Amino acid sequence: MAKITLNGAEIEVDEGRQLVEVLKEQGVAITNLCYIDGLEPYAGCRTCLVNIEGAPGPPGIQLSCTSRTVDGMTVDTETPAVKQARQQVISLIDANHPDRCLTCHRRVHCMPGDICLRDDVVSHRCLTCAKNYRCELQIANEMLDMGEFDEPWVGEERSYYETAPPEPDRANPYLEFDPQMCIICTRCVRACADIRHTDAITLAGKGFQTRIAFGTGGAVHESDCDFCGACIDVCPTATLMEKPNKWVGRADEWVSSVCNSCSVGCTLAYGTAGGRPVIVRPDRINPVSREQICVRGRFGYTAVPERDRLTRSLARRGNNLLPVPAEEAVADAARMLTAVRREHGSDAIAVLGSPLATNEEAYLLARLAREALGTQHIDFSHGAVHRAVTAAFRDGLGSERLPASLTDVEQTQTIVVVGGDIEQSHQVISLRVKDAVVKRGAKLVLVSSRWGELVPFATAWLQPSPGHEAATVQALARALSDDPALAGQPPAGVDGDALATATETVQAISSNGEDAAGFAVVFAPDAVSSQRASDQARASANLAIAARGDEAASSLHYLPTDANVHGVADMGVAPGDGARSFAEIIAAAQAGEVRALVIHGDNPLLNAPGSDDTRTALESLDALVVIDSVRSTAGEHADVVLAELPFFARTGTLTNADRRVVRSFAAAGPRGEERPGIEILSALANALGGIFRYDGAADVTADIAEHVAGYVPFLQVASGRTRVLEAEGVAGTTRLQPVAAAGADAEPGAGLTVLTGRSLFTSWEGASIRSEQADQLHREESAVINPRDAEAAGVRDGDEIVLSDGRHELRIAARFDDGVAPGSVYVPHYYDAGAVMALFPLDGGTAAPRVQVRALQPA
Amino acid sequence: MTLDALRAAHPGFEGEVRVLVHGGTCGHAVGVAPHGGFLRQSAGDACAEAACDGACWAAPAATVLRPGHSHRFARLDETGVEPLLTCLAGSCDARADDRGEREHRGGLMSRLGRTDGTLAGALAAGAYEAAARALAMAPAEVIDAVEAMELTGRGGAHFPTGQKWCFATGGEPPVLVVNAEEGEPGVFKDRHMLEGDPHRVIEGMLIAAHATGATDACVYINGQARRARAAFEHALAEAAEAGILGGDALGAAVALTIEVRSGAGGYVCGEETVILNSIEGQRPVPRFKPPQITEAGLFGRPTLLNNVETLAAATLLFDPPAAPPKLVPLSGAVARPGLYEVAVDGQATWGSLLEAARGGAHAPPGVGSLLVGGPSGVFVAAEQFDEPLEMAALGAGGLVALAPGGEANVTLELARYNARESCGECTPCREGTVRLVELLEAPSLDRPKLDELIDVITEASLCQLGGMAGRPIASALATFPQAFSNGAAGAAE
Repeated sequence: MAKITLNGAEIEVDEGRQLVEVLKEQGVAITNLCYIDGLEPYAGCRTCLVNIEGAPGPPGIQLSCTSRTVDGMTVDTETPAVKQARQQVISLIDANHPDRCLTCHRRVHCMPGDICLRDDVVSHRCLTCAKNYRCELQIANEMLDMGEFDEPWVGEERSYYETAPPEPDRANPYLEFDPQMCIICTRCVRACADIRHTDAITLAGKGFQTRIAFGTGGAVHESDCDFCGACIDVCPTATLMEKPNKWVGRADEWVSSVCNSCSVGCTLAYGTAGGRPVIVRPDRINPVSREQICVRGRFGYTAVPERDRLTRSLARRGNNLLPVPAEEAVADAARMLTAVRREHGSDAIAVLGSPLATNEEAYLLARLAREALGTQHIDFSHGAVHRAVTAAFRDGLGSERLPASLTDVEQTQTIVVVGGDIEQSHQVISLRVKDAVVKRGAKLVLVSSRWGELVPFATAWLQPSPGHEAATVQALARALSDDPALAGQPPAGVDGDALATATETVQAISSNGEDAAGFAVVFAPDAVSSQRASDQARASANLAIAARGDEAASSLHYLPTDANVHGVADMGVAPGDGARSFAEIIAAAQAGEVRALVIHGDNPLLNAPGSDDTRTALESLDALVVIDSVRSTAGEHADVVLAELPFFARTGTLTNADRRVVRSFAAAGPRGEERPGIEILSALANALGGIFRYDGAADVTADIAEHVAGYVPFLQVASGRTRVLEAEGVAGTTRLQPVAAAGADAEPGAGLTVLTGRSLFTSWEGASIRSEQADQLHREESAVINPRDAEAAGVRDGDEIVLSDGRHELRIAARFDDGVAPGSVYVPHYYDAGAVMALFPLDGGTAAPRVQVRALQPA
Repeated sequence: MTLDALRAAHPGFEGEVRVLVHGGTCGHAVGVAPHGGFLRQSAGDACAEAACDGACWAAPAATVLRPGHSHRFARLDETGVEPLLTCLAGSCDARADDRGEREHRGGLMSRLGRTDGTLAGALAAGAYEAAARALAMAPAEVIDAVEAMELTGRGGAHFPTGQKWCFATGGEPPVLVVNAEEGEPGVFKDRHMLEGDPHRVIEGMLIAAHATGATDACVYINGQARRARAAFEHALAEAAEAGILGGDALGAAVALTIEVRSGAGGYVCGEETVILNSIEGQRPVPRFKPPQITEAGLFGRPTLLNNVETLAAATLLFDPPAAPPKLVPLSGAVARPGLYEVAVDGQATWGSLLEAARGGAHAPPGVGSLLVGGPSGVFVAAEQFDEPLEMAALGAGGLVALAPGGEANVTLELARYNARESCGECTPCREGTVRLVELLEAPSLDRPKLDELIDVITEASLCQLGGMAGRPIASALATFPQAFSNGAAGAAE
């Protein structure tokens, strides 16, 4: 501890801390325009000047960001000399920055900034800045009484306004870059490089011509930018801002919520205005994501334009789905379901839940199925994949509730990532893996059949032929243990040198593998083949066991594709004993055995393999009831569609990949006749003769706490810290398991193996309604094909191509990239409303679809 | 191997008479090539190319060397090569210029531009004698000797070199970084040294490496100084080939690997932490201290950073001159601009230095003032010319003589230079230097604003180049207040 005198008061602080952080903690108002909490100081803005005596270095005016606390130092932040020095520096920044927000003679009328005169052209100095009263430079000016301080270096006639500002970049849907507002604090450069490890932003030019530049200086969307928005969060001015709602981004209130676009479950703070979200900031509650989110979290709420949302319930009248009052729709649904039950029995009814819904909704849906409809045929479209994984974990590790915590990943010394491209599917976990590599010098072994942004961070990238992922992981496990259960063939496609490097890397853990920080396997199965997921899960568990023995469960991280897979399964959205799984429900519907289907928030046409089968199944039903916030492609086949609030407008809990329960509060009110899922499900259950009496989500959570092991009432959820795990822990029950041999490689000429996966920029809901805007950046609208294969098929880069498996044809643009191995082609899962899913078999078998590629003949 | 054996293995020119054509940047800039070509035809093997010997004013020039006689023929473009050929034939014209002889007695410049650029030539002229002796001593003794000769950093800060070397010992061996950026206008001493006597720099590096335990070094040469880099790399290759680097050609094994790096140019690239960033491939901006580079410098390693001239001067440790020598590049309104070696002995004055450069027929009307230290420097008015020279006042050494009345114009040009060369990292320098120019360009000078602005740039800038950007302006205002009565721009017109 160090005793320091701060503005005359003696305080005790930790020795050696950045003084500026101490000042902020002590509530001292200090201008600091370039410092980012937690990073090394940059010392460029020179605005955090304070007077320091009694410290190493010359006494006098010093920067507080580069100074560290030492015992006996005296710090003064408010002496006239200090204040004047800060004023002088700020005035230099002001001289090249718009200052209308400070000098407008009507600015007092703007206070507190929630109205703005820009709509009312009465003054030549009307505001032209979207960050009014959110701007750190503006606050710094006010803090230093700059209003009374002469603008000392330039007169009106030579001021900022006399020169043409550089052109803003408004060409992408997410981020607006307006360099005229930039004060070259470089926070964005450092956030992008040091926090996100993306390095998309740089400084160009020198001296007064210094500018922030993306990539090589072109448009933002042509750079490596992932639009995570970390730069927006740190930008002190209006230089980098969200494009959606830029001009209304000043929030009335902030609501703590959760992102449901992947299983990381990043906590979001929605800023709302007028009852709708207008801005998103990371909410620090989730200890894995903390102050970082990705493009889906930040902009997901804008993915579906308001006009495309379902604001009224629909019922089939003749051949048309027409808007009807909500009560009428519920009554219709109940009548049809009752009729099916009466005529064909409960077994003719099935229910599909959504891995994107809250625990509360899933719980009510499961109750609706079992109590009100009397059916055990309940599942969700990825259910089989999840159950394959959990079965593998139960067999190998004794439990599916693994105690491994993703918070450990960034501290881990050796990490093996098994899966597709987690940079795209689970970006914040990818970020924590990069943190471990960059900040801790961790070694990363990547098992993925295609290139991803993690590859440059990897010590070894093992690129197996599609289908040989499990065999590859098994080969790594063999390097650590000679147990006969691990015997198997060498993985196909994997480069020998890379495998040798990877083997050495995992073998080196014997020195550091004693604790959880030593080793981690991060496993992210794709949600297409349950058999493949099962093999990969078994191999991953084997690798963890070979490395950590009885502590394996503490080192194995499972990342389901969708947000609430764990929670939905825990709530009972899974077929009862002997009941039908998703694939069996579809098959039974095709056979006429299942006659009615209730779908809540899922779209099996988008989410599940075998979409041809699903489509004919949906078409042959007597009754299809869909509860959704959008008019999905599945909803088009419905008899009744009940309008639900969008996810960000609902309250409830999610159980994320870490089995952490996170709470999400509604960030918007209803429009039209939208209702929370809980209300809709209760109303439907009650119309079917049930007695559901819930007063809001918390009421349901209380019920869950009573009936589902590990869950607690809503108010007792320490959001982000409550984890649903085994009461006893699972150490000591490990068992190595054999993995099925991968199928032989196909004959030459059999076509290309189709790969798919979750892509970063596509919205689930947008894809579900086949929206043109589902991929606003248009980055995911092409098939990635190895140039070798493409050239053999006579295809040029950018050509429209046709992928054909004999029964289906998929039209898509080709993008050459040797990041996919020869012999395979990658098609984004959400492209064209999940068109690629038609190529995969409904039953989730390992047989990967093969397609012939040809260029689309010009018409 | 010993130094004698090394010399025997590298016999130099064996004839009696030698013609050295002074090429280098200075000679080639004014077209020495045709004269050299002609002389080569006339003198054959006896004619070789050397770099500039410091008499930049004399270019295009050539020197005839014969035992007991050294005779430089200046301005071959004006006088033609006839007098030189006459001298070569043995009958020397007594009226010919013989300054070359006087300027080259011992000291830092003794070999500058006086050898044919080969290792053999350098060895014959005494190169590596000091290194051979130093390598035979204990490192601590070498440091003691450097401290005893009171060598200070010639980059301009004049920190005691022995002390700096001493700090570098004890812990992890430092990496030696040699600052050969020399980006500021008016300074060309390091470039001359690299072109004209590169082996002296390598020798100094060997001594520094032996003293501090450094085993690898990086020489950061200005990206535009292509001849300097080529000459140094040639010398480096020869030294490595001869076993001077990494062998025991000097009687003791040295394991010093030397790399050469160049930046893309810029005044700020001469700042020591900028050099490190530039070598690392980072944007050339300064780092803030602490940590000092002696603790964490190049790639985070302890780093010893010396100027070219400092290391060159270290080779004099066994025969230190009575007064500390300083290379002074002098240019501007003098007849004989060039590189001068000054003994800072308390007797030499600005005036005596100017006298040496005044020259007969080419004498300009007079010198009104001297700009000392370039864009970060100060003005010395004519009234101060008889003040004795002090090492600290010389800075890096660059002197520009100004004709009377030119001060305001030069001040404005320096302000523009500082604005143009700001790296852009910190607010005061990036934003403030531009405002300095604006204030100086204004029709009437707003002194209070200007003083305040100089104050904030000086106090709040991140590095010394920003911190000293206002220095020449403040100096000009103090020294020539009348020149700014109508603003700098007004006076310049």
